[in-house]
Amino acid sequence: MDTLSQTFSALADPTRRAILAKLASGAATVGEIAQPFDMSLPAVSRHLRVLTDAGLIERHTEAQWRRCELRGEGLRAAADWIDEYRRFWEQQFDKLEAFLKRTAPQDKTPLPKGKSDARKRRS
Amino acid sequence: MLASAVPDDRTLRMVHTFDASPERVFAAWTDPAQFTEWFGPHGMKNTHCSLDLRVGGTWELTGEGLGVRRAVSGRYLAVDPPRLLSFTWAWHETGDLDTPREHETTITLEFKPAGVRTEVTLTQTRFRDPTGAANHRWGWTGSFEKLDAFLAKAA
Repeated sequence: MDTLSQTFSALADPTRRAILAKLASGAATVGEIAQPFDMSLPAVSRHLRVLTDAGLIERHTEAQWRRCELRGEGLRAAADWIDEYRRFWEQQFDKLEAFLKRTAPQDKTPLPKGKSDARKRRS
Repeated sequence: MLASAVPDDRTLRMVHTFDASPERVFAAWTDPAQFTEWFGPHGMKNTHCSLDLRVGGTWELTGEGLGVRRAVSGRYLAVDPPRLLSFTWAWHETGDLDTPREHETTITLEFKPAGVRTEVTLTQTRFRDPTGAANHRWGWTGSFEKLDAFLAKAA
């Protein structure tokens, strides 16, 4: 599997997204991650391995503690991929806007002001 | 989350605004059919739930998933729909409700109208250690996400 597929596949699981959300507020030990509500979750080590293989987290060993940390670069590839499609649609909206202006009927029924500008609304 | 309002590290306080009326949010906590739909970390599925909703009444729930079976139970201390709900809370040693209960904490939920939404303040007290409070914060965070989704779906 290529890296991007591995990243999206790792993200396609609510438990793993919950682990990433937890790590977004700071590094945590495996024990801390494995115990929502004090439940011991044996499957968590499997989820951590998937996240590590996908480059989304890093595991360090400090003294006897194994700490997990978010790895920003891992998500960047996925975010860049989505961003390309965002830019594509922006261009399409710009073209559509130009087309609508060019072909607008010349009578006095203008479009409502400020509602058709996708770029302004997004910012 | 109002971390500053937490009096000590054996207490967990979380504030979350849900997109539904206090009546609906209160029902999501007190109707077994609704509670089983959203309670628990992502990846857990509840298998049994019984709630005897009156002061002194017991409540219990079992669930499985993520490689474990767990059971939790307690007793209602205050029931004032749709404003206040308070109950004791303890996990059992295993996923069976007839095994001994572990350390007991107390949960108080306050439901405050916030426009058309509801601000819920959860205060869980008497944790044995700060790790217990941190672990429960993570558990409630996932559960609240699931309750958000449940209320949106049921709307």
